[in-house]
Amino acid sequence: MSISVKLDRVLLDKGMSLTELSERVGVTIANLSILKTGKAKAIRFSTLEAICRELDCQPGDILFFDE
Amino acid sequence: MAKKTAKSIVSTLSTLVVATQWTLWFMLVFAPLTAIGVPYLPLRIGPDPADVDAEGTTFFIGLIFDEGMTRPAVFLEAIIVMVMAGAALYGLHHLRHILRNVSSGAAFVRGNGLRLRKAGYAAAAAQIAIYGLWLISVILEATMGLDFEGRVIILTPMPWVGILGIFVLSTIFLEGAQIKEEQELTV
Repeated sequence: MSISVKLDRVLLDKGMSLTELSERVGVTIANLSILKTGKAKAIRFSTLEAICRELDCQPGDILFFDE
Repeated sequence: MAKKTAKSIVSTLSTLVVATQWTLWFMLVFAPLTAIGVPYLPLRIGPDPADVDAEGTTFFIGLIFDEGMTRPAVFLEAIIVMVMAGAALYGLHHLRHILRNVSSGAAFVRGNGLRLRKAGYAAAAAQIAIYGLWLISVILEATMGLDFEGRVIILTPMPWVGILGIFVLSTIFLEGAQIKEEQELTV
């Protein structure tokens, strides 16, 4: 059981690269990679808010609960 | 500025640790050699042998042994010194690694906590061994009539305060390492 972050599909839908998202959100690519690869232990509300704002999506579009 | 001060403190501590290690190595070698060799060496600096109790081997080697110790007491003391010096050297070996990690900027890492815990176990084991040696000497005294006159074993709970302190510190380090890891992996 774990929470996973799936940024790929939303990025593809929006036609945005990870580098562009990193610049818009103000989070380094290294940290976004940690998020993308599932190594992150926590995500700040402020980061989630910025990602959702820039990708125009809901938290539920990028966060998934796997049983 | 504060970082520079911390670096110089770490450097001073490392030097002190190395100096202590050399002293302990000396004691580790010196204790058994003295215990075996002193009665045969012309090293008697104590009272005139003619005044000494016939049962006692009286000599004075300031660092480790006292005047007026019997041979069994000298051997007991030598073993205790070796146990203590061995445990201390093991602990200092880990302390040096911790200081090296700290100076390279990795203070709160899991390895440091585990190293501190190992040093704590060594100190506790040495302390228990000393109690065991004391018990053995009492038993030998009662059963075989060996004379341990002059033995110095301090049976106080004070060392345990230090040992508990080491374990508390190691727990803090481990907890700190976990918090740091979580902090680093928070995006």
